[in-house]
Amino acid sequence: MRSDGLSGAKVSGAQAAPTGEPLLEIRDLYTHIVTPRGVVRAVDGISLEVAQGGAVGLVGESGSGKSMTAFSILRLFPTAGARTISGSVRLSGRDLLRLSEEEMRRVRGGEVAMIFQDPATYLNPVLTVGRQVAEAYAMRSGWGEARRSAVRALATVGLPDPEAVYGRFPHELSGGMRQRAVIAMATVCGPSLLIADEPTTALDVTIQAQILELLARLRKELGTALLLITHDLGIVAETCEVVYVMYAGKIVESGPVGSVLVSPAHPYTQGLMAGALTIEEARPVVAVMEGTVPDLANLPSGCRFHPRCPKVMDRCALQPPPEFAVAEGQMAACWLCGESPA
Amino acid sequence: MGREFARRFFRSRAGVLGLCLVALVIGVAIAAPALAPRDPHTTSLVTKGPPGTPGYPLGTDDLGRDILSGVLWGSRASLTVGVCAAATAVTLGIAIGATSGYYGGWIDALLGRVTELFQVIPRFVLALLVVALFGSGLWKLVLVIGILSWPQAARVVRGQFMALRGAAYVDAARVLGLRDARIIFSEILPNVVAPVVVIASLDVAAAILLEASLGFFGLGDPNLASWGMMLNNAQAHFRQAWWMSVFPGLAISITVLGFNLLGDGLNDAANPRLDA
Amino acid sequence: MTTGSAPLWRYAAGRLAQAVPLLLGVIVVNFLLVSAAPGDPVTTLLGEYPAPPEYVAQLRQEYGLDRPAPVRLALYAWNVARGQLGYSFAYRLPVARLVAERLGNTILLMATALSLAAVVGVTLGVIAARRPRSALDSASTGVALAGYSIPDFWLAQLLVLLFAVFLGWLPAQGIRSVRVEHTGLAAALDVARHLVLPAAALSFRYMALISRLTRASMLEVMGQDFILAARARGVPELSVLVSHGLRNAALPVVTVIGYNFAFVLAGSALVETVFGWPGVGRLLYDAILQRDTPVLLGILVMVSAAVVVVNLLTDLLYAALDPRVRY
Repeated sequence: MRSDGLSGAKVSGAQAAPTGEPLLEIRDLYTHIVTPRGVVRAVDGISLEVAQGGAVGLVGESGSGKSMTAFSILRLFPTAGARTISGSVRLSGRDLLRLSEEEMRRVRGGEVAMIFQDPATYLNPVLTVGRQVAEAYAMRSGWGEARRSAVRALATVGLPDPEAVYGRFPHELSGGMRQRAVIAMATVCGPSLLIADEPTTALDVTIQAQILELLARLRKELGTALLLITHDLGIVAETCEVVYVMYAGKIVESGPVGSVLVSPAHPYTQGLMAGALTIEEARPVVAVMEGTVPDLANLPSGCRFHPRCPKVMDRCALQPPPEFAVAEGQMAACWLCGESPA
Repeated sequence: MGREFARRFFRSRAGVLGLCLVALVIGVAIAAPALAPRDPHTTSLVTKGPPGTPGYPLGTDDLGRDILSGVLWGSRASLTVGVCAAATAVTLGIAIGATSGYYGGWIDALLGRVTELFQVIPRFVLALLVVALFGSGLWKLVLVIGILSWPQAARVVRGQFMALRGAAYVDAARVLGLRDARIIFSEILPNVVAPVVVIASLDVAAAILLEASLGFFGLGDPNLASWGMMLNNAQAHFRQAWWMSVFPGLAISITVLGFNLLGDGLNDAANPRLDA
Repeated sequence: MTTGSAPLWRYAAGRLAQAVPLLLGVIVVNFLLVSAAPGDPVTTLLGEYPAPPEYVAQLRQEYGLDRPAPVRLALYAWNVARGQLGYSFAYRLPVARLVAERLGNTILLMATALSLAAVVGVTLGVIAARRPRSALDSASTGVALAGYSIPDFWLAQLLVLLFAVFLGWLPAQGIRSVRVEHTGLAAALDVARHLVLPAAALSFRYMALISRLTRASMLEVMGQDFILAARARGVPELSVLVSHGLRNAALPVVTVIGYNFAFVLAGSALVETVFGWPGVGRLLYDAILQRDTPVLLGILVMVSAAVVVVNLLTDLLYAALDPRVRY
């Protein structure tokens, strides 16, 4: 837990200064989706680490496979046909992919919790908010204790009058309150890792800032590590220590936020940054880039980014680039960054 | 669109089976005089003869009438009432639904209440009362069942009209100065054909069941052989002569199943789901 | 009641206000039928049973049969409103009493059949939705199609043939044994034995309907985000299925059960006739045989009113189950 003290984008992340075993360690993860059109290679051999109590951003456009990465950790998929093919997902050393379904169920909500993009659709409309917050706790300790914990969790996420909110239905809360309730649901059992999938995208700007503040505060108070999935580099800069940039199922660049966002090495990250610098933080950054993420069932040869890359070279279409070390803890998968693998 | 629709329809096993059953029943109804070994009303001395009695493959009833001939001839009453009543219901439903959906406002509100009223009054009991008050007969049955069955078609047509009323091409037609009737018939109505055909098929099934129920209560057309009336007659005797109940009931079930399957198949072809 | 929701009673009052014009509509339809029927309205109101001339005169006065139509309508509505549903000369009893005497038996039959249909139908639907396109799902589709297509009164005859005539397991007629006097628990068991076949015959169609609907509804709900969210919090699968899945999927099912009440009533009339069940349906059948029109008219009004009330209760139940409706 020594990495707990390291915070802020200026300081090198946990990966750069490894202090013991990381909390989450993903190695060579492949998650594919079988569809009538063919196999979609949503997550295609990625590796990623989150330190104890650390904050890691996973950035990419929609369709880049970043949400599927999160679902692979929980072994829970929104689409039928999605399956993790190979790799390992170690949480405190234990490979989640090898757990039984029942053991995995106890990990969900207990050790790893997830919050989602649109709090409106992720809340059951006919059950009270409190009931849904308490639920995960009740399975572990019974309803009486769960109720008290739920009220406490609702208070912790900054909801006024948590006793009253406990009895409300989701439609009776505002968007910001709903997201706070969803966060209370995720944190009620004190998980060691919180995955947040675009937690602020569906909210308006002022609420966004409050929710990000809340996530930072919970991290500090509960010691929960955060894996933040977003397309917004501004949010990453504010909240995270380490960032991974994902494109078409692969990590194209990673490293401490301070290095990656200040001197991006991969043309894709550079494009994202260029967009981020010219438009409002709150707006989707990716809209300014030309083209879209390639069809993951029908990927281009070589580097997957080459059809959109402004600096494309001949070899990019032929050979997929390996990861090259560009700076202290910073890696990029681009032929511009070197001749031979790191 | 038409060819694509047919391709999708013929890919659905249920729909094709339904089509076959319906074709079978229609064939039987047309060929009944040729197929039936004797007149369904002629009595004989062979009373309650079990199936296999020489000359009576499906047996005879309490008055010695041939069950097979009754079942074959009965298809005519069922199909006539079923198809004509469904046609009446769908025509009324389109007229009411189109008016309601196209004009909206107070007309829609008023017709909405009328539709609701017709859905509240139990169709079967009202049909019983009407037939009891006005007497029975093939065309009266058609009219009664038809008039009591329009709300479903009306609801669907109204919904479509509400949705399309504001569509750009309908607005364009209005700007061009087309008359309402012209817009309703040539611009919007073609879009509701698919759902209406589905409802029509299901309506036939429902109408045949209702006709059989009325027949079972003794209120069918007294001059025609009908499956419902055969079951009414069987009610007093089927404990001793099971064949009096089994065969007419089977005939109703197969016919109704055919139209239900046909309706399902048409529905799947009209609203292709994304799966598989 | 939770704070912030509009109270249920206000919603109920609003719905009740909508039900009143419907009831009036039912009365108007009845009135029009009687007016349009061929022959003397007295005959229509009395049936073809001989009635004493003084009663005929009383009837003419009570219904204002020689007065203009609007007055007649008002008088008819007034008579219905105070429970004056006519007099059956076939039974020499007021129609309201005739119906009331048999209502309990019909409600017993319908309630049993609907409960059976709901329990079996929902279970089948949930199982089918668990594995769409599996053998079990196809089988339940087949059963449902049979349910839609088989006339309930024929199914009733088949059940009598199989379980009463051939196997001799269950009684085929009536509501209780005639030869033996049962008391207490034995009497209840006796009624239950008589109830099995008619309830099964009546429930089949609704079981089919409910299972199909539950299946479709469950398939939709189980694909929702909040189901994923519940699983992501480690909620056990059975709890996901029941408190999150079924709790939402049940909403349209409740509506359909309620709104099909009229059809269950019609089915009950037919099934009662097959089993000689002494309920309102049997009364209806006898009234037709005896051309006892006042009974037919009375039953139509009462049954229509019952449907309006049941639809109203359905909407209230829906509102109680779905907190969003009260907005």
